[in-house]
Amino acid sequence: MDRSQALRIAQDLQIQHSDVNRTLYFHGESMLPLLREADEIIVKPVAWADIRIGDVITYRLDDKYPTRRVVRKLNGWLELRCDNWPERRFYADQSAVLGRVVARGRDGRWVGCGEAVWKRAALLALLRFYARAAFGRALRMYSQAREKLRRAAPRTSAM
Amino acid sequence: MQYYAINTQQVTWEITDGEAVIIHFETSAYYGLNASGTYAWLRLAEGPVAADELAEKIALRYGKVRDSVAADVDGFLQTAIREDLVILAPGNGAASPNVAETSSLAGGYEAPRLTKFGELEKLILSGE
Repeated sequence: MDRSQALRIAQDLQIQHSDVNRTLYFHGESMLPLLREADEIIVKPVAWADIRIGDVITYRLDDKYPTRRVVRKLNGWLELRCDNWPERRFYADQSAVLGRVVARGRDGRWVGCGEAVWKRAALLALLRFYARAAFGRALRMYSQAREKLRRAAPRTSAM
Repeated sequence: MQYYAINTQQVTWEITDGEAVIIHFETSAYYGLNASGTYAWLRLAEGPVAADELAEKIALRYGKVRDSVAADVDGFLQTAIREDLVILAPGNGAASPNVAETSSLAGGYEAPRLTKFGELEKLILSGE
């Protein structure tokens, strides 16, 4: 086994065994307001059957570890979104999932995924996602209906 | 007699394609084991084991005689102790039974080897 292979496996282990003494860092603004730059996070392994819509999960993508919210669970796949970028969609294969984010540490204070603030963030993110999806669908239906009407309307012949 | 066991308070491991990768939580070091090292590691994972007992198991596995692998096993254990991956443990008072190997790997023997690859940095996760 070479060093890069070993590193990848070691990093997977590092994620799966994170706890308050062995935290991981979050980077970026994609999951605001729940997660922000330099937050400490803890990820725990999760069985596929236990993954729920609204969970924030970490998965392996090449040498990176994206951490995003589950908005849809498909057959062996997850559709994910970032709370702060709801327009971009991502997919994770079941085998790439490393765990679920279960806690966030900021300024020495920890918030767990069972707490109200965490659940509220999940609810708001999902509402935004579903509202956006419904609006998009309505817009498409409106455009299609308009196009049908335009085609059905009698054409005025050019003189 | 000295018994050896994995320092389970500080290490975890995963086996991929017959070779183990180990991480040490406190030092953040990560290591790789070759196939015979992984075999030795798994025997250690079963519970405290004496060096000669471990050598016996490895010899059986690889179709060798114990004395020919004893020094290798001793060296492997000393390295693992130095890295705090293995600790001295109270023995169970009786040698664990030698499980007959269903597949001897005669000819495939290579001394158990522990390779330190480096230290893990604090891992950064991102939504981007």
